[in-house]
Amino acid sequence: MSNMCYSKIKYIHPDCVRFFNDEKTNSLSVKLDCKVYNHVKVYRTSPISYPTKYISLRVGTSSSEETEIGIIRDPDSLPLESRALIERELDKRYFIHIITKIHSIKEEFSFLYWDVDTDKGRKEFVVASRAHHRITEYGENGRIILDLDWNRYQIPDLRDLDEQSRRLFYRYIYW
Amino acid sequence: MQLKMELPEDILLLLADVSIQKNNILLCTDTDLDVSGNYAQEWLVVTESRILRIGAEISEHYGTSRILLDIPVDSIKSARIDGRVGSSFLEVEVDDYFQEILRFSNVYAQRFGKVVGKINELVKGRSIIITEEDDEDRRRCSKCGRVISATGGVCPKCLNKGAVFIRFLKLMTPYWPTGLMIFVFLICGIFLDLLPPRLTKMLVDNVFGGDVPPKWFLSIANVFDATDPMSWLVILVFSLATAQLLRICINIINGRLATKMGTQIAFDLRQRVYERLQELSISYYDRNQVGQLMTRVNQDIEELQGFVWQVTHGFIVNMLLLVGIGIMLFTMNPTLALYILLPTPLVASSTYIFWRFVRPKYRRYWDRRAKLNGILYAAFSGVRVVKAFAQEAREAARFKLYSHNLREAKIGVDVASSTFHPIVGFIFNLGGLIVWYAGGKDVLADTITLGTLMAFLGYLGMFYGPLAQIINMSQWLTSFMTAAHRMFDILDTEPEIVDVPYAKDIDIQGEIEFSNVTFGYFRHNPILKDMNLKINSGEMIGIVGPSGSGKTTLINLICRFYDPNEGVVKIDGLDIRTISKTCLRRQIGLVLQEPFLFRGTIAENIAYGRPDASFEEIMEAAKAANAHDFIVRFPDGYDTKLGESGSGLSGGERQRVSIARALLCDPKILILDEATSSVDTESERAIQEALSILTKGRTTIAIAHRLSTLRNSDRIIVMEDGRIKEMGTHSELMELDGLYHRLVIIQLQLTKDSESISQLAEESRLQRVAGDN
Repeated sequence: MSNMCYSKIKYIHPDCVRFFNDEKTNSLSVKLDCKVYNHVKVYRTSPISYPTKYISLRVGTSSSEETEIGIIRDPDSLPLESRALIERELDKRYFIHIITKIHSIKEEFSFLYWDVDTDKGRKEFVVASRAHHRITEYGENGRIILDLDWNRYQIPDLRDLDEQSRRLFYRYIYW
Repeated sequence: MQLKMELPEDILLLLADVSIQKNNILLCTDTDLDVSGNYAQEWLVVTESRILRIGAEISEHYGTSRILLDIPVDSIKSARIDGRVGSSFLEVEVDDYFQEILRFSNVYAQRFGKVVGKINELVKGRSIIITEEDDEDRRRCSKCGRVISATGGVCPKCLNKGAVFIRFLKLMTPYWPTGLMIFVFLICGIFLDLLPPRLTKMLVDNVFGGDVPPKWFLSIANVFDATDPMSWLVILVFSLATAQLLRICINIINGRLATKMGTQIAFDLRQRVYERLQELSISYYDRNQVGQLMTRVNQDIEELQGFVWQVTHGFIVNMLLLVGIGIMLFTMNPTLALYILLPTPLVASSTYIFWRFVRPKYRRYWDRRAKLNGILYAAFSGVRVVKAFAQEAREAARFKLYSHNLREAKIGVDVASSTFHPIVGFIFNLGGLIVWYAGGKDVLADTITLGTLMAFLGYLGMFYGPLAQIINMSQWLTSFMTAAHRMFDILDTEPEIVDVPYAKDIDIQGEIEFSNVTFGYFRHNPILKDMNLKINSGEMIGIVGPSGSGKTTLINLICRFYDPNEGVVKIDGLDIRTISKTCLRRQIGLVLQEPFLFRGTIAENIAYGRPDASFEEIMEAAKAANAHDFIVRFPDGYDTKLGESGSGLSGGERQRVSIARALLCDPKILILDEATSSVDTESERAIQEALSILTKGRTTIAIAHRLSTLRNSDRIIVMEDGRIKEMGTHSELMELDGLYHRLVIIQLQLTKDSESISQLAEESRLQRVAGDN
């Protein structure tokens, strides 16, 4: 078995890594074990279970060429500036509306027209009714809603919504 | 226009400062996000030489726009969209990396898809042309802006229902004799429905009440010599029984006629839709998911079949019945008839309440029941895994959870329906109570007869049911109309790949030439880029390259599943478009990685491309494909029935049958798309042998990941990113020390690893044997 080698996750030790901003392109550069990686992308490995942990650092211009430099177990162990840079890159990758209140849901011609409050302001969007694959479970009691344009809306926990919002939700989303 | 929007004054001034005038702007559009992901309007401006992003500086508040990015076009190699989670970036390739230009939420995805195409044109030195077509948003209705279902592309709101209805009725013309009969019986049926309460009135008033019967009745009675109430009673009861019997007969006849006509209509339409779908080009299938097409062929047509049912049993009957009852009631006593209408709003609201509040509870119950079934199915079929990992307790807990959910849903349904139905029952009875009171008062005051009251009550029983159904009619009508429109949509689609009027049937020799061919499934994203390649007749060409490099696309163009965006594909020196499609494809043999076999016998499958082949020819083909021996070993030999997609055969066997199928057509051009990559080594050897026979004397193009299979090719083409990277014989390419060389080394390494694994397995086996001894 000596010549078989298994790939292993490379966990990055906070002391061995340095993050800096590439001023010219406003992208993230990472210096790791004396090597500099430019245009580094930052992904959440488990966005629902560990949204703030296990952050994957990746390089490569297209998805087929993309490789992982390593994983940061906990960005909180990094200096403040580094954390800010990671946060900035995460914001570039993820664009999600968190629903805080449902004003109305109307069904018209097989579409559900939603009017909701989100962390990004009041929004209206449309989802095909009975589209089971567009409204799916998110953790224990939450839901992810993908509208017709594939914009993402999340309800982290249905129990945290007010009674009227929850009723509206359950009236139309029966699955 | 979306891609040439009017810029605000302050931004025009800002551009003037950097010497960009309004007439220099080729493309100008806005986005809804800034790069950090905040909702904000930013602008993209493209000129002949520059690409700019303009927006408010993040640190500042609205009102002060700045040029946030300014990139010279000549430094850009290409543009692309990087789709991320919930939003996307427009990026351009500069100095070997992709620079983010701007960000947009997915609402703008279609618009920026077009922008990317335009920028790529510009980068290539072509001009940007913006047309009305660029504005088209196929997901929204062009009239009302309402979203439309991707499946049909029809806005249910703006759909010209009348036009669709008339068109559908025109489709019905061949069936009009049956239709007319149904309609006549329908009217008779309704008349018979209205008769009994009228007869009851006469029974009460004239037979029991002693009033003189109307003249028309007396003249009929005289025919039978019936002059006393007793004989009238007999006549009336007999009439009631006859009406009921006739009603039953009409029901039976109409039911049969409707079924016959409905199924015939469905049968004809299904066939027409299916035939049209078969004619359509592969690109139509790219745009439409298989599942959606199946829905159209199956469900939509059934929906149309339902139309006939609705006409004979559904809303048209209800409507006519309602009108008939209305006329009866109002002619008997208009005031009392108005009283009956009093509970109508309550009936309407109960229908609304049912569809809005009660029905969803049923849906939840059905969904949870299906989920519980799913859990059961998974647990039973995966029982080995559950036991192997000792997870019985966990599965039991999971089952309990879903079972609990089902119970909750069931309680919801039962509570709702046990509350709803009695209330609705009361509402329906309310009319009766009103009639008893108001009509009863009139009877006491002698303004109406007791018989009239009884007739009123009789009609009342037939009134609210149809009313409730008609209130819900719009829902049915909409789904029927959209189904009809979707069907017309297919019938109206013209195939993209059609024969030119002067297309010829020729005997192909097998020379293939690509001349400056550029092609992409989406125009802005070319897969093959300026491809030039000549394959001689009888040559064996191997194609290798990473996935996405355009290998299969190349084949798709040879088979003319698509036409190139630019350039020409030639066969024997002729533009492929001038050869008739059927003639071309008949002379191309295609062996795919996943051979697709149809339901039917093995012999039928082998003869699929040449149904006229003799049995001996079929056997010859199977023998040459190394398939004969395994086929003969089956109890039913060549008559062995295969299930869907060839189930019943192993992967290697299926592949050999598909080779026999290709061989029987004696194609001049043979295409092998990963023909051996999904079978085990043993089968591969048999298939390779079969292929070596098949390729003799034919132009052969073989795509393979296992490079060893291509060693005997006359030439090997190495593709990368839509272009030919290397070309030559195996040894030439090895000497070149390029991509091919690298791929060969990697595969050798893998083979060695697998060899060392088998060696290890062998060693441990020997050790075990030694231990046992």
